[in-house]
Amino acid sequence: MKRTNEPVFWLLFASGGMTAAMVLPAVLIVLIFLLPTNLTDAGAFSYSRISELSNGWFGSLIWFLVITLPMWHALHRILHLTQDLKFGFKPFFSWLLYGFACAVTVATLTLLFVI
Amino acid sequence: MSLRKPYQQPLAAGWWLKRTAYLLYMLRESTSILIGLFCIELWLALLSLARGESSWNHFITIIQQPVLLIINSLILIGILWHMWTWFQLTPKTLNLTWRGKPLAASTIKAGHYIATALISLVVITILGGWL
Repeated sequence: MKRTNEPVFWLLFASGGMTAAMVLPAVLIVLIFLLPTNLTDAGAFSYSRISELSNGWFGSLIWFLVITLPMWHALHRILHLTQDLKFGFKPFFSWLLYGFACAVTVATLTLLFVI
Repeated sequence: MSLRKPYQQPLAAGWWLKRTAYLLYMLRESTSILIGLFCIELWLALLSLARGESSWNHFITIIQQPVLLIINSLILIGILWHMWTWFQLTPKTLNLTWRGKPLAASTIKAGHYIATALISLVVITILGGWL
């Protein structure tokens, strides 16, 4: 049987789907409801506090996982959407979409090294 | 090389419009577009944080604009639909056993909802500035 790289992408897809389901709703609830109504603690989103939270290895890891894993999940599904919609050109879309996920991963790492 | 030539039934691009189940499947798959959008939004948040204080404050102002609140609400609805469908599938994707016996599907699903509730509590407490 031909070896494929599918399990790698599937693992990223699955962990990204889990991250999106378990972490992102709470982030959105804060951004949509708590932040605009000033229900958050004063200074919760101040530059100094968020920088401090993001500077440590743990904060960086959270940023990294929360941005990149759901991105891999999303682009894997979008790849299958292109095939479900009969666009064809699977190798092209694989390179394009997984390539974009790679670019986001590298771009996130770069920013995390800068801050 | 395989000499097998299976007949490939032609399928029109609009196949998923023909049945509710197919439509719901496509709706579930489409939540990925909103998830991708939100990842880009989070990356932009990190970018503005890396650029410094004025850039970060600008981002925090923009994220509270009505247009962004509407977009984020749509993303939230999409992600909640993703969460519902994702947890519906967990008993199939995770074959967990406990002391040699397979766990009930309802137990696996409930476990995911409980984990999500706990994680949400931690995330809201930290982001809200109460910790």
